[in-house]
Amino acid sequence: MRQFKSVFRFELNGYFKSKPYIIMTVLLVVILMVVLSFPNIKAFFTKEETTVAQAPVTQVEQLAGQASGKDVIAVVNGSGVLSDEALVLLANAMDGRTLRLTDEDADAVREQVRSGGYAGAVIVSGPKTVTYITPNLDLNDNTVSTLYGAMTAAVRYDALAALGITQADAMAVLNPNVRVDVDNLGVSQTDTFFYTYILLMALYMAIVIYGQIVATSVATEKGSRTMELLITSTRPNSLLFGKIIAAGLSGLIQMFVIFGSAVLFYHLNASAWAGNATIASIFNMPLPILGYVLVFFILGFFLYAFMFGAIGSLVSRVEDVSASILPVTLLIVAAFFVVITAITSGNAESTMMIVCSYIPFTAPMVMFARIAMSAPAWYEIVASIVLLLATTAGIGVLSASIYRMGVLMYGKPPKPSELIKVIRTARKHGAILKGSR
Amino acid sequence: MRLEVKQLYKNFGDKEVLKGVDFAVESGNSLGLLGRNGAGKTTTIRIIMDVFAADSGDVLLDGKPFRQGDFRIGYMPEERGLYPKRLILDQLVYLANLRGLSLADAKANTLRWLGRMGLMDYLNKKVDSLSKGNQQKIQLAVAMLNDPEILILDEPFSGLDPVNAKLLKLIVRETIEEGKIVLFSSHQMNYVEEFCKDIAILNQGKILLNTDIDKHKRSYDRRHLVLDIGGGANKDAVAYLTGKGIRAEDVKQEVHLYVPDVKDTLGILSGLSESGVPIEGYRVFEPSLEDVFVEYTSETI
Repeated sequence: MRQFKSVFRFELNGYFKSKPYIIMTVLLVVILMVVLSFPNIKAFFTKEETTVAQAPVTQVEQLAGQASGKDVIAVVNGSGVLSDEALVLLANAMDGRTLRLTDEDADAVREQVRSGGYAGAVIVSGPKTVTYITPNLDLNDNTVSTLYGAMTAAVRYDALAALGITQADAMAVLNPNVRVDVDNLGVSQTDTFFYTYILLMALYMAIVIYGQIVATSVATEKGSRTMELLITSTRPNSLLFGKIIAAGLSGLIQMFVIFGSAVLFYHLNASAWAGNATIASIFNMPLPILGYVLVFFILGFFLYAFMFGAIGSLVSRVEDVSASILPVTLLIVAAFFVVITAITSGNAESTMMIVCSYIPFTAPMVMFARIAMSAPAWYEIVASIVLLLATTAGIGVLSASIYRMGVLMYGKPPKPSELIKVIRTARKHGAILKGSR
Repeated sequence: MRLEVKQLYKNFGDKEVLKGVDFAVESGNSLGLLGRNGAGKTTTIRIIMDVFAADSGDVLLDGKPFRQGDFRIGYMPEERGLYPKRLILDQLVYLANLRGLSLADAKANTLRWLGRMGLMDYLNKKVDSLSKGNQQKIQLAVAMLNDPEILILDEPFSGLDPVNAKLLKLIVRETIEEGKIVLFSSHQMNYVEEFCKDIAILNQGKILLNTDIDKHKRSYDRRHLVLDIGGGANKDAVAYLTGKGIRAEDVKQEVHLYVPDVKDTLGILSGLSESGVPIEGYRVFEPSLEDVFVEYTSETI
């Protein structure tokens, strides 16, 4: 226990003094600070713009009277295809954009758009044909779809009017204002999606990154030949467990700092984020979810860290680590892939998910996603955790055996058949060790 | 205390590395384990340190199975190495701490030994910023950190310049004088000869010679003499001696002669002197450790 404490202290110290760890943490905190303060930063740099709510257009004359300008979209109603009422409907449906009805012909308007006289132009050339002229089609420009909706309404209106239906009746038919109320008895996946996604990402990154750190750290001790000094003074279990627990704790501390700073910056900028449902859904995640993250991080991390540690003890050089841990890394990637596919398709309770939530290698992420996005029964959660716990303990014992023999084997990484031999001799030698210490 | 290995056998796969190794070393003494490359020196030392177990045989301390955890052991493995990216102070304190010292003692001893090695300026440096010689000195400091009762050094002289080798010899000699057990392996005979009372020559997994080095040298024929002749008169000396029926040779500017009986030595020498050959010095021939080593190991080349 004393040796374990020494190893643990030394390793933890190593993380807190290591530049990559500090830089990574600070960088993420700064990024979160900037992102979460973004509305306030943006407000600071942009001029105070008082956006006056546009009064709805009621008369077609208002459209003709609009001054031309950079923010204005010209409308050419060629040979009066749309009625005045339909034009008013169109103008009101193009929310936020100012329309100016103009008598200029299409070519003249196109020139104006090119020279910047208009922000864009809508040429109504037939009852069902509209051309939208724009200097650039931005990625976020939704004018085309808005125009489609607005034109459809306008054309329908004219068609209904032609059938002799009054304006009020036509409006009532076109905008019936149906209301849909939701009475959700389970978890709302729209509310849970974002935080589940973020936590899964964190879980995945933490397990992969810290697992690899464990493998590299063991391989470094071996590659730098520090191992013989360590192994002759310290129990292998103290070395392995001290190292892994220190890595796990430093990972947890890093996550705590990062998520803690996110919460802090969110609350500092709370007023700026008011009304943003996505952000609110992330920061209003239920507390038990955080508890589950902790449980599944700890179990998942240990399961994988044991495997990574054992593999690290089998390679001779640090350069060989990334190639050797690939099979294990792929296992995590597969789990991540399953879970992300399932939650993005909104199917957290698919057969695949249910099966994977009991397989210990995928359980940390999959069971967590099921808990966050649906409502598995308590015995399902317990069964998954118990299986995971038992497997982690088993892998831990196995890894300690491999580690004991692996750390002093140099040369090529062993083949699987040789590995089994190693584990057997490790068991045998383990008995001898117990006798001698 | 008496550290003893008895009938160690060890195979790696089909390769027999140790075939019944025996030797012992007592407090206040040092044993030099000599052998050519691949003789089994490091394997023997690793078995003593319980890096791995022997296939059969015992490592005993005062007749009881040797339990590493019960003693303060200083160990310098053949494979040298420390954490390349950690501060020297940090890792030395850590290693001393792992060998049973409290943090405060570990730090005090680290400072003391680094001071002794003249490496105080490097306390807060990383190992990979040190020269190779200084890294070797750090390794020695690591072995000494816990004031070992048993000091085991595997090839301690490799990579040391003469000044650092002298420092190492001084430290080892002090350790012996303090009544500790020192066991080390080497193939650098000149160093071993200087402070080692006992040697064990290991060849192909077997101990060929385990003896007190001075006694062993004296066991060579005392009738074999070496003369230092002045004035380039070696040939005259050889001619005079051969004339008297004594076997004599001129080897490397010295005259080797084999007197029939030790009692005749002075008579022969005074006769030679009177014949006008200037004798500047004479001694009984004793082989160097290197000669002994080559004698015992060369036939198996």
